[in-house]
Amino acid sequence: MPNFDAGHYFLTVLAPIRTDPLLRDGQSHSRRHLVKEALSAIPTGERTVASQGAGQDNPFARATRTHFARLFVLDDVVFNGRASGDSLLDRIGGVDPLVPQDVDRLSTPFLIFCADFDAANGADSDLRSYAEELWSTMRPEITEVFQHCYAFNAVKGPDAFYDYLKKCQVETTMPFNDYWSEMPVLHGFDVKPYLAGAGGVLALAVIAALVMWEGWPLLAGLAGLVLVVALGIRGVMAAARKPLPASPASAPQPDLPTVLKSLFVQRAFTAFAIQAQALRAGPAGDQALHDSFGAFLAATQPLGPGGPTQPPGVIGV
Amino acid sequence: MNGKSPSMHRELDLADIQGNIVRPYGRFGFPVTRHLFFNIADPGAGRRFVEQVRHVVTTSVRWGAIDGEADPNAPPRPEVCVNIGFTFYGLYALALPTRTLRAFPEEFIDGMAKRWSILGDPDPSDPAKPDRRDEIWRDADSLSHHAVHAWVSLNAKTNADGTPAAALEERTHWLMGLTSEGGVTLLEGHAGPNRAFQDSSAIMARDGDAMLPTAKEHFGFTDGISDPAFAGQYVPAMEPVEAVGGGKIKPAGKGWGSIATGEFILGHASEAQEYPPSAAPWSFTRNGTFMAYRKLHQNVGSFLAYADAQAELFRGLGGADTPEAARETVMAKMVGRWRSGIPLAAAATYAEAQAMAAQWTDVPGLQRKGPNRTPAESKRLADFEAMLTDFRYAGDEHGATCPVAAHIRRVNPRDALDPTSGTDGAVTDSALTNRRRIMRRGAPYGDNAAKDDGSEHGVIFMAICSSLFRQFEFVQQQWVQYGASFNVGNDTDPLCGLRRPGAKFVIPGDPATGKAPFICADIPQFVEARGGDYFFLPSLTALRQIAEGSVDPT
Repeated sequence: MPNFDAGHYFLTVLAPIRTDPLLRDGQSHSRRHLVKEALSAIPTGERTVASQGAGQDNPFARATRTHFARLFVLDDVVFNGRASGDSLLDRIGGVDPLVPQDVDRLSTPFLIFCADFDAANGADSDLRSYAEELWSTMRPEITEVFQHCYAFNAVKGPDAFYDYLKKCQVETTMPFNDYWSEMPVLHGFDVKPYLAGAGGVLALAVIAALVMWEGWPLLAGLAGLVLVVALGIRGVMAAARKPLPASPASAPQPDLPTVLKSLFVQRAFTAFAIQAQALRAGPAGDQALHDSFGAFLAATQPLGPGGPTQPPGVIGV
Repeated sequence: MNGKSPSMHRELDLADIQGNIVRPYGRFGFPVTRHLFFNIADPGAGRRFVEQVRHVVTTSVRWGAIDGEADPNAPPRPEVCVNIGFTFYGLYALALPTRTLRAFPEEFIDGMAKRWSILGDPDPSDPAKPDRRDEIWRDADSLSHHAVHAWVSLNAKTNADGTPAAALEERTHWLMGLTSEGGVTLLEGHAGPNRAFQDSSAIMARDGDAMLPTAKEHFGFTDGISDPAFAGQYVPAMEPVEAVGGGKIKPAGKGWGSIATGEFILGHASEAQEYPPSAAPWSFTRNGTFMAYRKLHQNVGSFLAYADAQAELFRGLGGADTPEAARETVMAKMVGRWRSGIPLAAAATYAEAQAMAAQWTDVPGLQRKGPNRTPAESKRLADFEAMLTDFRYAGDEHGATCPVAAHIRRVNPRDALDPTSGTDGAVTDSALTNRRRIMRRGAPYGDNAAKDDGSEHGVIFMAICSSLFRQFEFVQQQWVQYGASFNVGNDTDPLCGLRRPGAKFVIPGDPATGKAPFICADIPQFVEARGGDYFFLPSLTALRQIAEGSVDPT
């Protein structure tokens, strides 16, 4: 189930944007543009040195569950130009190069919402609780952006928002996990039994054909080969649907509060190491170093989730 | 055509390529450089100016015995080397066709001042920060009569007392005379002793009665050691020799090779097996290239004081036995070389560096001998230069010998970015570095005796490459001002990086011996940009086209 991997839910939502213009104050507005305008007004958070201290709050940072979120508008599919063929085959097939080919279009633009958030097991209850959390922490922004999507007018509460997301959800087939501290043991797919099966079927067919001196065993062998390949493809797809393993039990779990705490401790420890260097080089002695480490532990509480941590939506330098 | 037949060897048309691209003049007996900057107000006057200058421009043609070529027809060294370049708005002021101008790279069109955030320079439009650039670089209006449009450099020999040869003044006078008709103006506003031009010079040292140039810069390091070696730069016999340490590390353990010409000269195939993008027409950009000119002020006092303070801490933690060893070690770890130029890769400790320096005490004498060296002496010198440059970072993945964030490892990571580095049996190469190389030209300027911050001293830094964006700016933005490529987060280059509060540099420990890392904390700003710009260095063909007004992109 690629929507869920290693403790994270990877959500992909495609919400169709209405193509009828919005009439407001005597002016007509493209809803596709209004969505983009609403998106551009959402602060991206204090993620860079340049935006630090700007005091702008990214709405996703109001809760501690979203690792990454991305909202953008898919205007249309890209037209790659005329599908070129083989001029010789076209001539034989009677294709007239002067006749324009169809140009593929999407029937509506789409608002695409991708998020990577902490989840228990990838069940619908995870998505439901996430939808509820978004609704309770950033309802104004959600409404501002989604109001131009088809059928969103009816969404008035967290349950309806969950239903809407669920309806527009597509399966995430390529999740991106950033937090493994070491390479986990991945589920393999063993191709050998299928190769052996295919080889066996073919060999049997050839031997039977030679012994009986008839053609039908070869046809049967071919059918068997198709069956083995089909089973193989099914096996690959089944293997791909298994979630990737979570972090080993010994490692910290990659939920957002733990990640934030880790970043905070890493930075605090660097500062402590600099301070400890001076203590070790100076006349203060081991006791002073011991005391200072004690103070560091008390101040940062590095092992538990409690105590000071880095707030979400900002970087720390 | 089948990819297997040996490619035709064809020498570069050196007489069409400006000489400063191929040669660092300082190493060829021209220790003094004078940079002059001009404004072009009238295209006709500009063209006439170029017409005069182009006939004295020094090309890349080799100079007889100096370049190891016994060709009696090779031209002698000139008295003064002359080279010329233009900013984008210089070419605009020369009324080049729009079709040519529009296809120049956007960073060249922007110019250096607009690229401040990429380069890590202070925001010039921020009223809260004082503009420390020299006056000549402060005019933001590229079309004004004060904007820099053209650069001319004069490289001169020195007299026995270390003063510039008289030919420098003669050439300066001639050049200034070219502006007498108006329409082209020599711009003033340099912070040094002469407002009309920027002088730079190798730092001189007394040797008996004579003053001789050294390769030192103001912090005391030997500079200009490692420069890229590209195909066609040297005579064929010397190319494999020069490629060692300066070229690229080829895949599959095939050793060093010359970097593709197109990394440094337009109109030739690059390391990506394509022509570097350039403007039309082909005949105008081919054999030309781009140059970043930067005046970098050095806070010598801060650097020396900081090194001393860190050395004391370093020694207190058992990093070194004597104050001198501690200071030199901290400095060497920041740079990646000892101040003598010997790389950490060749001598990991102060004692080893001392021992190695003792083995090469004859080198300065051999260097001074110049072309009169015996073959054995030339071999000895070549061995010395190979020791300085022939190394790689495989086997030192974590920087126990040369810190991963040290200056020379950042600006030329060699094989350090090879993703297989550190795995068993890996044969590393420099594929991820080959497209990020720059030719460095330049020399120190100002007062070497004053060991403070405020005196006028630093280095005139010039980077030459076929794409300022892909090469110079990438190195500056990603490797000097940011550390993600080396897993050191936001830490900037310990020597020339921009400092934010709490800036630090880590000298990694050694897991093999249990040695703890050492953190250089709260590093002050050692190097500050005081201005500069991006220049196009045209070929001799292109200079003629400019002078004639015959640049034709149709």
